[in-house]
Amino acid sequence: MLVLVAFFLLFWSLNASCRTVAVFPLLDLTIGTNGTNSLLTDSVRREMVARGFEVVDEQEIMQFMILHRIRTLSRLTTHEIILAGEELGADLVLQGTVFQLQEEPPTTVSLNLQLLQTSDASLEWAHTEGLYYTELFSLLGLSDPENMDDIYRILFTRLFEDIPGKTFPAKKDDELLEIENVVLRPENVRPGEIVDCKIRLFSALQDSENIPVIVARVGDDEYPLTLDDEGYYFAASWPAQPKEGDYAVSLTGTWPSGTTRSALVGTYFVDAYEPEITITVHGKELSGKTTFNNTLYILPRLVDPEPISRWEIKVLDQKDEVIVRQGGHNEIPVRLTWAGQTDLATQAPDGDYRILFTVWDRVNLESSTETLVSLLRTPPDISIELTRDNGTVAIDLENSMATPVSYWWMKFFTETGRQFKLAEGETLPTTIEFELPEQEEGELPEQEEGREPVIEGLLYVRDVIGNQMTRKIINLFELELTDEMQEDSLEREWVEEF
Amino acid sequence: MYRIVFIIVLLTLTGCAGKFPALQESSSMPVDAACRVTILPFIDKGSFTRGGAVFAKVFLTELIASGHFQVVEEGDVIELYQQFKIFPNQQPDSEQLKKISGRLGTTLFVGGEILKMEEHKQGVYLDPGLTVMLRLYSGQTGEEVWTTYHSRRGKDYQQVLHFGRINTLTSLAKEMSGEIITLWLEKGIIPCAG
Repeated sequence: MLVLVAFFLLFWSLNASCRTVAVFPLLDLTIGTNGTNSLLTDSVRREMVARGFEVVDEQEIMQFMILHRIRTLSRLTTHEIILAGEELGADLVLQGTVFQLQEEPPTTVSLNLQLLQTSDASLEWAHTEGLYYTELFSLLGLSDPENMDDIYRILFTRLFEDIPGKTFPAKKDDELLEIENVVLRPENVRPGEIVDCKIRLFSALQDSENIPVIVARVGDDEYPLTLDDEGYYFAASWPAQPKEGDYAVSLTGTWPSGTTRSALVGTYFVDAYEPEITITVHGKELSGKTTFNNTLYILPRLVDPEPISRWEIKVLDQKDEVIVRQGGHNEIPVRLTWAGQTDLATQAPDGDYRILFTVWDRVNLESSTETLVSLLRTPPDISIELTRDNGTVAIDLENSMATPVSYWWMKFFTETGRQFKLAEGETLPTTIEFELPEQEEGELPEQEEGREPVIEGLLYVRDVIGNQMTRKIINLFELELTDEMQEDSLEREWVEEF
Repeated sequence: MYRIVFIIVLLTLTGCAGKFPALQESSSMPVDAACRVTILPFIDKGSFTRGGAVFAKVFLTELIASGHFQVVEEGDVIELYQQFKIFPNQQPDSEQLKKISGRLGTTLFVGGEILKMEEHKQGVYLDPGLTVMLRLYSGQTGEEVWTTYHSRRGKDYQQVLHFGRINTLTSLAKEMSGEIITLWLEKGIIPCAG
């Protein structure tokens, strides 16, 4: 009998001493992404005590969370779990999440718990359980839950039914490359430029005596890391490889025992070539130059697309002075538009200009391209010569500007405003011939005998660039030209393209 | 586009209440896939508040409960997401996955989207609905290896009268997770020997 009692006490003490659990506050997703449920946390603590676990004091856990700045619930990291074992003396950590909780009918509650071993941060047990009030109703209504306590009792019974009663052998390998933080920069580098690599190991490893020799490997090259002056980072620097490409950096830790562990920690890109850029401008080709009068579309394009850091476009006049400068960061624009104005919002004069587009990539390698354009706003300058032979009139039209004409028309009107002739064409010089019109019956005013007929004319010319001119000739025979249309001299018919 | 066509063909051939979960293999599963699994934050397109977090935790629990997988701590994953500046609603690219794998020793990543997560009241009962698309990525290459589509409603499990019916999203997620894991084990994920 005494032997049995002794055995029971030994068994109980062994189990009790191996089953200290730190119950962290439950995350309550019904409240928010970081809400907590104190009531259910207390209930879980009581359930763990009832099942023979020794539970770490609540205040100690709060102090632990404050000390280690644990701000999010139900998301302990491996390092925090191991620290909980060391500082709280806990064999196990229990964390959990409340998924659904509605106490008012229809009552719903669902909960998830995870049990982790602090010796190796392994997840040993997890269980999810959910209850809906209709699931608890029996056929005769016997033993139906009457309040939330009854529901929680049923929930926790189901939740904890398969919780393990003992700790498991630790799987922890003391020789692990536990990296807290990695700083590898720059991400993009020119050949020969220095790459810096800094590693922060978890303090338990960094401060221990069994610290490994850490080496950074890039391809076949090895760069030993050494503790910096502040004793915070293990650091190494090396020149970037000469060949363009992506380079992966892995760390290898070698312990005195000979154990070796590796981890990929990052990559960097060696950029050896400047970006290749072209620009296309849309306008009319005249004398080997793109010519425009109003809007010039500029389309830059990377021949081999790559990320860039910034770009700039400049317009230079014939004296090489910059009249327009614009730039941006990151992506090059799909299209730019120049309306023939300077940065001071004044009209640029007619003439030749150089468009210069420059781009810099992520390692500041620069590339430029340029093109010549010509701005021409001057409209066609038309000379009109008239010859007359009895009743036949011949009009010679000629463009004194070098820019070819693309379209013209000329209308002729009697004194009374009746249009009697329309001539049009696509090229100049040209000659228009017509017979003087007879006065129609009833047309007023009657022409006095011997008086010269008055013929009005309207001329429109457009060149290949799009510049236009319009002239009204009040008296063709006297070639009285107006420089501009007067409002009170508008013709009586609708004039298109004015 | 390819996956949308796959889903349309799947629904056409199997009907709306077709054979789920449905698995598509993009490449062969690594031999040691089950040895260290990392669950990535799911992209949540459902209407249930914080549904992505709910499903991720439930799925992690079922992976552990199956006894065949070792799962990386959620806290370790979030910490690396912060270091690599990856947003939770953003799927890491293959290069980022390789870096995460290097730091965590991951052999297999489980990520994906919650396409639908909702609860409707039907009389005294709740009718939860859940549709998920899970994507498995190789820890070594960061490339996608399998895709699994699963869709269920709580009443799909109803047997006689109201018995068997699932009334909560959590229970539905738990049931569906079990079905997905069972399918994976059938299709060739080999339990880790270690």
